[in-house]
Amino acid sequence: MASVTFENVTKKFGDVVAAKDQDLEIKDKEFLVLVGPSGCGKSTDLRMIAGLEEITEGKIKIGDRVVNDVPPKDRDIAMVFQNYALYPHMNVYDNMAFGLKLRKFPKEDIDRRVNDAAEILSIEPLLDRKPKQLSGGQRQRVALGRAIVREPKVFLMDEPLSNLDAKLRVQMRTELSKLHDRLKTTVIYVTHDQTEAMTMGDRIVVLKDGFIQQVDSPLELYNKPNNMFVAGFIGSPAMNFLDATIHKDGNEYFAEGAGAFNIKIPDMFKEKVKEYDNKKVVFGIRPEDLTDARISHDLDITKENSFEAEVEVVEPMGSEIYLYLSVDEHSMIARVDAESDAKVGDKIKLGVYTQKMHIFDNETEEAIF
Amino acid sequence: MKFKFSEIPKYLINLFLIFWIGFSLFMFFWLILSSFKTTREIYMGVWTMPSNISLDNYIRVLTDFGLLRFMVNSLFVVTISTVLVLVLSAPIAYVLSRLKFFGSSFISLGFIIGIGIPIQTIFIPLYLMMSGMSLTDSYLGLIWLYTVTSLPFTIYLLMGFFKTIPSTLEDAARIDGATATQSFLKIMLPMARSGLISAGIFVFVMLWKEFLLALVFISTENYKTISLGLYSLITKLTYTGDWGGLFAGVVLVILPSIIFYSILARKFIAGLTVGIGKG
Ligand SMILES: Nc1ncnc2c1ncn2[C@@H]1O[C@H](COP(=O)(O)OP(=O)(O)O)[C@@H](O)[C@H]1O
Ligand SMILES: [Mg+2]
Repeated sequence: MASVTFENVTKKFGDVVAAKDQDLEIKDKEFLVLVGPSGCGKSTDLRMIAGLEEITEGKIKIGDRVVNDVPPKDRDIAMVFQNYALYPHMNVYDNMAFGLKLRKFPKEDIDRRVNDAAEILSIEPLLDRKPKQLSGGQRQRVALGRAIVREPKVFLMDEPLSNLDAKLRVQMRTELSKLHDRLKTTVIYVTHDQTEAMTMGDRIVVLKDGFIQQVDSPLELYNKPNNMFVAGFIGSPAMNFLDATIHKDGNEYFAEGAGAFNIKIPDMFKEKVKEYDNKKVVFGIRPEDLTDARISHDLDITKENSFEAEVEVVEPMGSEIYLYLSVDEHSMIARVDAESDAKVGDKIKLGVYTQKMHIFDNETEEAIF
Repeated sequence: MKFKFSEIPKYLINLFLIFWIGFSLFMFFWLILSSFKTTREIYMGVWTMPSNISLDNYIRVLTDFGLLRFMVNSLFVVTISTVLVLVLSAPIAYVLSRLKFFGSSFISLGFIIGIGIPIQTIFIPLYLMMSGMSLTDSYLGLIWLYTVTSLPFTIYLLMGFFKTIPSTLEDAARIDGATATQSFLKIMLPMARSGLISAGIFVFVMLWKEFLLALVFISTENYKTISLGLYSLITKLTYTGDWGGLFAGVVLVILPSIIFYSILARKFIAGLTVGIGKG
C-alpha cells in the first residue's frame, strides 16, 4: 500500500507541455480521479507514474521512494489501459499469468492468484478463451484481472470504461468502487467523464492544458469551484455563465447583467465583492439552482432574486424539466420541477437561489466566491 | 485520339481476362498431362491421355539427369536463406518501425531503395566482392547472396506489420515486467506470425525459382540449384528429344510454388495487404 506524490512535476514533449509544475499528494488507499478534457495531460500523468514516460522536471514518489529512475516493473504498480491491451495470442489465463510468470512465481501461486482474481471478477468460465472471443465487458474484466493478480500497491486506470456501452459503464462504475473497497489499494483513475469522476472519486483532480486546476472531494469541487473552468466542467448540464457588473446600491451589492438582470449579492458574500464595485465579473449559477418562479415553494420571489427569460426549448426528463432559455441573446439552462408548465415561447420569471450563486473575476476567471 | 482504358467496354475486358485465365490453365494442365506421357505419346496428339500413369519421366530426370541433386541443393540453400532472412529481418523491422534514433529513417530509406535496385546492375561489383571473400561457387556464397538480396523487401513488409500492432501492448508488457527482448519474443513476434508466414512463403518461392544469381555465381555441377539444373536439362533433353522428361522437370520446379500458393493463398494475400495497406 502506498501514497503517490508529485513534486513540481513537469513533462514536455518537444514544445508541447503535457504537465506543468504539478504538485499532488495522493493518499494511501485513496481512489483519486484525474479528470479533464481530451489532451489535458491525464494519460501523461498516469504514464509518468507507471514509468512509461520520463519525467522532464520534478519528482514522483511512490511511498517514500523517488521513482524517477525506477523501471516500470519495479514500481509495484499495475495499469489498465483504455483499449485493454490484452495479448491477443494468449488465452485469458495466460494474459493474467504473464506478469507473474515473468517474475518467476511458483506455479501453484500463479494458479491460486489467477483463480482468485477470476472469481472476484466472475470470469472463471472464460479462462481458456482468447481475447477476441470475449465481449467488451469481459475484456474489461480480464484487463482488471491482469492488474489484480499482481497485487500492486497502486492501480493505474486510463479511461478503463470508455469503450463500454452506457449501461455497462454505469454497472462497472459501481463494481470498480466495490473492488476498491475490497482490495484496499491506492487507485489512480483517469477519465474525461465528469459523471464518472464525481461518482467514483474520493478526491478529484481537475486538469486543463497540463495545469492542475483544483484538487478536492466531489462535493467541494461542485460547490466551491476554484475557477470558471472547473465550474463549467463539473456538473451536467453545465453551470450557466452570464457577464455582469457589480454595483453598489446603498448598503447592498448587485450583479447587473443583460436585460433587466439584477441579482442581489447575499450578505454572506458581501465582503468578497467589495473591491469589485463597478467592475466586470462573470455571474455563474447551476441549472438546478434556478427555479420557475410560478411554482417555487421554498423561495420568496422578489425583484432582487429573479429575472425574466424566454423559453426556447422544453426537455421533459420525467422527474424534472430542462428549460433552455434566452436572456437577451444569452442562453441559459434551468432544471426545474416537473410541475412547471412552461411552454416554448413563454416569457417566464426565474428565481435564483442566491446562496448558490458564484461570481468569477472577468480577467483571471478565478472564483471570487 | 488518346487511348483510355475506361473506354473499353467492361465485357471486352472480362472476355480477355477469361481467355487469358483459360489459356494459362490449359498450358498448365497440358504440361502436367504431358509430363506423364512418353515422348511417343506426346507426338501422337495434343489431347490423347497417357496410356498409363507412369512416373518414368520423373524418375528419369531425377536420377539419370541428376535433377534430384539439384532439388536437394535448392532445398538446402533456399531453406537456410529463408530462415536467415526471417531471423534477421524480424528484429530489424521491429526496431525500425518502433524506435526513432539517429539515422533510423536513413536506414529505412536505404532498405526501401534496395527493393528498387535491379540485381543485374550490380553484378560486377557484387562479383568482385564475392570473389574477394572467396565465396563464389559455393553454397555459403549463394546463401549469403540470397539472404541479403531478400532482406529489403522482407524488412519493408514486416515493418508495415509491426506498425499495425498497437504500442500499448508493449507498455502492458513492460508493466508486467518484460524486458524489451522478452516483449519482442513473447508478444510482438507471435502477433506478427501471419506476416512472418507471408514473408517466408514469398521469399521461399522467389528464391526457389531464382536463376540469375545462381547462373553467375555457381559453375560447379554439384552446387547447381534446380533452376540452373533445369536449364542445362533443357539443352540436353531437347537434343535427345525427351520431351516427357523435360515436362516432368518443369513440373518439379514449379511445384513448390504452386503448392505454397494454393494452400496458403488466402493467408498470404491477407498478410501482404496488412503489411502494405498500413505501411
Ligand atoms: N508521445 C507523445 N509525443 C508527443 N506529444 C504527446 C505524446 N503523448 C502525449 N502528447 C501530447 O501531450 C498532451 C497530453 O496528452 P495526453 O496525456 O494523452 O492527454 P489526455 O490523456 O488527457 O487526453 C497532448 O497535447 C498530446 O498531444
Ligand atoms: Mg488519454
